[in-house]
Amino acid sequence: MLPTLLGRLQTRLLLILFIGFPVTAVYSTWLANRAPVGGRTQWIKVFGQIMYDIRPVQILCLLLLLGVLLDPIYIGLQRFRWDRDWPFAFQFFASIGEFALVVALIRLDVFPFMPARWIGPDDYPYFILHFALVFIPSFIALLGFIQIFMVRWRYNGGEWGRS
Amino acid sequence: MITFPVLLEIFLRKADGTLESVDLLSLTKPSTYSIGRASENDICFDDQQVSRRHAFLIADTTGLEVVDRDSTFGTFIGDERISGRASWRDSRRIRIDPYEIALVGQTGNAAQTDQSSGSSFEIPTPPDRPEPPPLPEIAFPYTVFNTPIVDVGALRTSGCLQGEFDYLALGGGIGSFAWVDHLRIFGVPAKSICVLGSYDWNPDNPRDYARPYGNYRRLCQNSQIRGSERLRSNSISTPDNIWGFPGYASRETWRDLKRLRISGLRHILKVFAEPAFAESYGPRSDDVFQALDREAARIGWPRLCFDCRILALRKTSDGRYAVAFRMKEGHARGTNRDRVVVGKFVHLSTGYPAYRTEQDVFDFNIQYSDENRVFKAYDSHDWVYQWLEQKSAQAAVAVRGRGIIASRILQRLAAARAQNDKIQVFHQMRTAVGDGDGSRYGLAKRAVSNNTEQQPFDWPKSCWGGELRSELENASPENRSLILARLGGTTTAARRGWGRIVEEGRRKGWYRVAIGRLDIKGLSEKGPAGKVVMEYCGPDSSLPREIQVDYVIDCIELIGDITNSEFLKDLVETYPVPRNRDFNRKDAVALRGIAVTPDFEVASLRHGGGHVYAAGQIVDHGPHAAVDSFLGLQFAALRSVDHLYTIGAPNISRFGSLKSFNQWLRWCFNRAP
Repeated sequence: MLPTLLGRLQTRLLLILFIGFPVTAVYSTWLANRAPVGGRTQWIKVFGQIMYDIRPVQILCLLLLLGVLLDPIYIGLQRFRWDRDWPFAFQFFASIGEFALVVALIRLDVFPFMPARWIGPDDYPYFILHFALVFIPSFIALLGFIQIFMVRWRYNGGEWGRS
Repeated sequence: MITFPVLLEIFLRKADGTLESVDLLSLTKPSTYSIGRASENDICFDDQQVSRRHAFLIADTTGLEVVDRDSTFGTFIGDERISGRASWRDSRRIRIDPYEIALVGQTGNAAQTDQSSGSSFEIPTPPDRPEPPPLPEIAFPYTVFNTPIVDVGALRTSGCLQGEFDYLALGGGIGSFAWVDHLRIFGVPAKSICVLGSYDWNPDNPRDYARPYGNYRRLCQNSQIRGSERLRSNSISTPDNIWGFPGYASRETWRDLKRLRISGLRHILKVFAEPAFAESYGPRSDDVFQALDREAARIGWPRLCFDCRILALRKTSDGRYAVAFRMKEGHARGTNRDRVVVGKFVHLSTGYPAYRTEQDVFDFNIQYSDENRVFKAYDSHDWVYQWLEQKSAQAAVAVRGRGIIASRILQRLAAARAQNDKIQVFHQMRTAVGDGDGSRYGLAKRAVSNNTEQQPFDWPKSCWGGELRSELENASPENRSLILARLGGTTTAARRGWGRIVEEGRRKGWYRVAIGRLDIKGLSEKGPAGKVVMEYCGPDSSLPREIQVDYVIDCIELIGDITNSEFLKDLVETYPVPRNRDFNRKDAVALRGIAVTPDFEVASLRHGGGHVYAAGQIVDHGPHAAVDSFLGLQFAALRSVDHLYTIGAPNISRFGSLKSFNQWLRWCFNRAP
């Protein structure tokens, strides 16, 4: 990866819009349907006719927010590299680290809209699965599939636009 | 290919029949040289048998030609008389009685034999055709290009107009290929495009075509990059695929997995882990060439190309450009080899104009032209390694210069040592570079090993598409020179294999580094027992002042000025074409490549509705650092084709996401764009 700061932000947004939200929408509907029938809990919401689980959606938004805050730090670290690049391996582990950080912050009861009790130890597999379903396609897209649709993306440091 | 300076030896046949060598001439630049008795000629022969204006000798990087100017006693190649124009490629001499001219020491040509000796002459005109008009005093193309703006009507009536196109690509190599590839994928039909370039193309062989990588492959092979060797290039720098996906690593993994070789996964794992946790991936050169073959066939490239020597470009009266060229024999016969094409949008990508030679290499090769002991790494010199391998006695080789070429030469020498372990290598480098003394830029510093700075590719990766690219593009010309000086310089890739060779060589004593100067002084004796005598001048007191070696391989890359190309020299002299200035040189104004806009347009040549673009080495020291890399050429192509869209050029689409995806699918299924 050869990102600029603006490129990182815009690429994150791109991946969330085209991969993150669609996958999360489907997943939260599925997750809501797995809840015990009759036990309507705080995190099951209704949108029209459809029941969905708000927790994956909030985690996705938190990932986006945390990512946006951490991006300047990554760009700063990148400046110490002679090639001014961000190896794919770094991005892989950084993303997993961001997810771990989000879950840790939730468990520390930092967010009013997402209390710690909403995520118990039995729920971890579901959220790890959610993260994998969002992250792996996004990472693979980063490796090359974005270029198929946006030819100029890789020359612009990840930014949208033509030059 | 001809390397300059061209050396000519002049002989005089005396009255008693003996041949005596009277002079040694050196032609330093591609040009047309006149031969004759009159004193205004470039080559002057003082004898009554020689006409006042006897002949022309046309010398260019692609070849030599002789033109007879209706001389009284004629011009001969060997024993055959020339009528009009003939190509001079073999070892026969030109005879202008009583003088003879021999070509000396073109080592690059040694592998080329004159395969079609019969076709280098004009076909005699059948008796019922009128005599062809006498050759004019002025040579083509100045017969039709006699003013800076040329009238198209005059071109049409002159009879040499080959065709009129929308898009012209001059150069015909990878830079032109990238541009034509983008044009075709963006929607331009094949019939609107014309490509002019010089190739090793045999038209009688149906499997052969104008390969865009021909010149590049020859240079690779000469500098010891075999087909299975990996290039110093990124996985997604794919000149055959404008999207860069699938990259070469993915393709290699896919091919290995299809053959049930799980170890193929290591290629994409390398791309994942590079450059921090693994060596950088590089594609095999043969894979790149085969991929280019496929894409060339897909876009219909072979039918677009003319194999020729490009002579000059002129603006036309209707806002377009005319390009004059001379077809190679074998592709056209007779006097109609001189042609002109007209096009509205022109792309210049003619490549490296020439390589300069170090003075001592030049002097040695003039003096001992038959010895074949001193080479530039880009010249063909395979027999050196074969000789070293067969000989089982002591042999010494001097390698001059550091960098990627020197690393490959050392690799080849280390492989030769497997057959003959008495090979000794002296590696000369002008200055020492300590392990902590790499170039600095911002907060970062470049790594060093064995006195050579290490970098995965020719430039820091971010020069192709990250922070450094935009920093360079937005910098002023003065700052650009500073940035390019810091980021550039001679580097090599950090490959474990190469590191091991150096370490083992040091330990076992067959590899010695000579910091300082190692100049060629002469030859100890002629013949196979002779050795090249070199003088060492540097701080290392453990090395003797005089070192004798069997061969010298010079890896110092000295790129010639763009005006070494006859075509570019004419262009720069006819029109005001600004050039990039190297501000690092304080003493003199050092001019580098042609100045282009960030969209790679030569703005000063804008004319009517016509535009000229340029890419590759000829635009170096400008807003883009890595201009002569695969990805750099593709970037230049993309920017210039996007610019063509904004100015409304014919058949160019906006190329948004859906069109891009559609074209990518066509690439995958090998369907024409």
